[in-house]
Amino acid sequence: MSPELEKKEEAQAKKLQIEEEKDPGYQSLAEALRISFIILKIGISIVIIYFFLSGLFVVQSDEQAIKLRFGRIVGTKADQIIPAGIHWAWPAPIDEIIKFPVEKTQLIRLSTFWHEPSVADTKEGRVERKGVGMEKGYALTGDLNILHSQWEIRYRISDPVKYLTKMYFETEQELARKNREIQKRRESLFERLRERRKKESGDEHKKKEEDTEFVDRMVERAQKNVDNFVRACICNAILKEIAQVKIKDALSTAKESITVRVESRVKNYFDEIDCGIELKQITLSDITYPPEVKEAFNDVFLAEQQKDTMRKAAQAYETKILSGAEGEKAAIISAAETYKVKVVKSAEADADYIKNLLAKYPNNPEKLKHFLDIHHQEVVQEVLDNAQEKFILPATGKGEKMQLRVQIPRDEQLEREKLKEKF
Amino acid sequence: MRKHLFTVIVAFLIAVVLLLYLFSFQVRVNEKAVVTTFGNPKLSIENPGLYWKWPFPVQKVFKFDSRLRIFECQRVETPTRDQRNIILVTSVGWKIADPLTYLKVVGKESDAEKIINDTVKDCLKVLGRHNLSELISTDVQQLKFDEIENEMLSMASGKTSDRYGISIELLKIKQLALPPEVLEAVFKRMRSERQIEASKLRAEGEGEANKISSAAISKRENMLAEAEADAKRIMGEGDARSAEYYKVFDQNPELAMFLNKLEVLRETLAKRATIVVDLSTMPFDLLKIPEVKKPEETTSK
Repeated sequence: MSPELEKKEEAQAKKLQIEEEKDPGYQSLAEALRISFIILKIGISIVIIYFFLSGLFVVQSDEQAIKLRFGRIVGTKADQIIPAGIHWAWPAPIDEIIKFPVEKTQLIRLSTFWHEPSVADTKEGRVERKGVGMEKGYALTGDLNILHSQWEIRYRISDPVKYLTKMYFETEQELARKNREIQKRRESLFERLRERRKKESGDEHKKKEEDTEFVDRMVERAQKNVDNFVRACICNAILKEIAQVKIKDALSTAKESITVRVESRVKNYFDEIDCGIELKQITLSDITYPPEVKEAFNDVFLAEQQKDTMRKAAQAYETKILSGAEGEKAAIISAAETYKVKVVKSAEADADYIKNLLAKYPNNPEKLKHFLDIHHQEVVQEVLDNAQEKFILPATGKGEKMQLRVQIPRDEQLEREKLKEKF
Repeated sequence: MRKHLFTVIVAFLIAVVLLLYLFSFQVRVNEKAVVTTFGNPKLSIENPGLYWKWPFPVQKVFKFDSRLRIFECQRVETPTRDQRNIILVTSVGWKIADPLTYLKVVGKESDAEKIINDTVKDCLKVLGRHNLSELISTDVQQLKFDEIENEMLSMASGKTSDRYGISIELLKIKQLALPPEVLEAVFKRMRSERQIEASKLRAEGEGEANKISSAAISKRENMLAEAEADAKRIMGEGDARSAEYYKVFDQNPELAMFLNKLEVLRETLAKRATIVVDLSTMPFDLLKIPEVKKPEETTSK
């Protein structure tokens, strides 16, 4: 084509274009496209900015975090843990941040060996466990007795890397979903149980047990897997330790040693599995004999007390007797002393009397005799005075025999004293 | 061209992302994966990271969490060697070791649990080789609890690892109980054991009390006997000393005798004495009524 023709075509095309562009319809379309393009660009920019911003995350002071890039843990052994603070990482699907509550102590209240379901279980409306073997939990002692115990276990996640790689755990959403599912199933189960109870029969009973057991196990499964791990370890340890002791010791002297040994067993289990969990504390909150034998056990306590009381009473009696004996002993000796003194004194007095008497009338036997006669008279007088009854008999002629009948009166005083002795 | 460059870059990036999404997959650090080609499982991946694949329907990826899971088996009643029935609840820690086999043989997690449950039930046969005293006994020498568990563990893991790709890492007996019929007998025995203990304590109490009180009584008797002996000694001393004084009496025995007689008289007749005397005894001889004579008249001076 000639250059002139080309120029002409170009000019024509341009003319058309300008005319086209002048067309209002075309103009608004172009306008719309332009605007939407701008909006689109803005939108995409926002998305890109948001994308990068979403890589920001905060690690709290009681947490530790691990970064995964394409599924792999980032960093060498030394710096795999991301400390507290604000950090940035590529957002999903490139990087993933997982946080671990490292300082938080997890608490498990174990009522597996207790004769009632725990308060928490009752609150959640668990099926009431009536004693058919397992539902009333217990542990067997070494002498094949039954013992109930309640424990508390405190543990924490100590090594996030090990924990992440070794222990299965669910996310919060998964746990929530599990719980919802269980609620639904439990409700439908209760419905069926209620209906079945209306038409009660023997075989139904067994099936009922299986159902409730199933529900119990489902509830337990909804607990975190790590909880179940800890529970398995501690139940096993408790079982083994109680199976070694006598019930008598378990209820008294061995409580502490049992707890210590359970703790060391559980620590060993944790080390064996090596999944980044640290045991902080195990507490035995309660340990007791079964309610079914309460009376018999209480009687033993009573007997212990009675044994003590008897001993104390005997000791009191001992004290009383011995102190009484001391008194009696003193009295006997004192009486002897008194006698001794009296006897000696009286002998002394008599001797002195005679000595004095003899000294008074040393050379005068007649005067001595006179004195003695007077003394004689005095004594007889006194005797006659004191006599209760006096009988004076006439003198007989010499040679005559006389028969005498005397009525001796009853002695009132003697009678009185004899009566006193009787009572 | 400038303004188109931006959109081109964005479009290119979007395309790249889509391609990556279709042609790659991630295996997380806690996972193992199996890649199936046209439905046939061919490749198993155990290490975490980013991998390439052909998109569905050529290849498909199945991922499994390969970490330790705890499963509590159904409780089972089983006899020991000495014919004692016990009820066991066993907790098992398992994980998917070989995802290829697992995918082929096992379907869902619940199937895996069923398999484990049945395997463990089977392994309880181990208890048939041991006596109850090897699990429960106050004699520590007899206990073989840990060994029995290990026996069960190796038996169970042997059964599941090749056949199902499941590795059982942990087997712990969570609860050990007696059948309900036996329970009442145990309570009865516990009660009678306690009764014996209570009687024993009471008998001991009585015995101790008797011992103490009879010891006290005999001690008292000893004390009194001692005292009596001492008293005798003291009185003897008194008598001996008074005898010294009575030597004086030897000088004048009649006088001493006389005085002594008077004393005896006075003391023995001090109370309740009845005395019979005749009129010749002084002063009763005066009891004769005298004749009163008028005096004779005499001459006056």
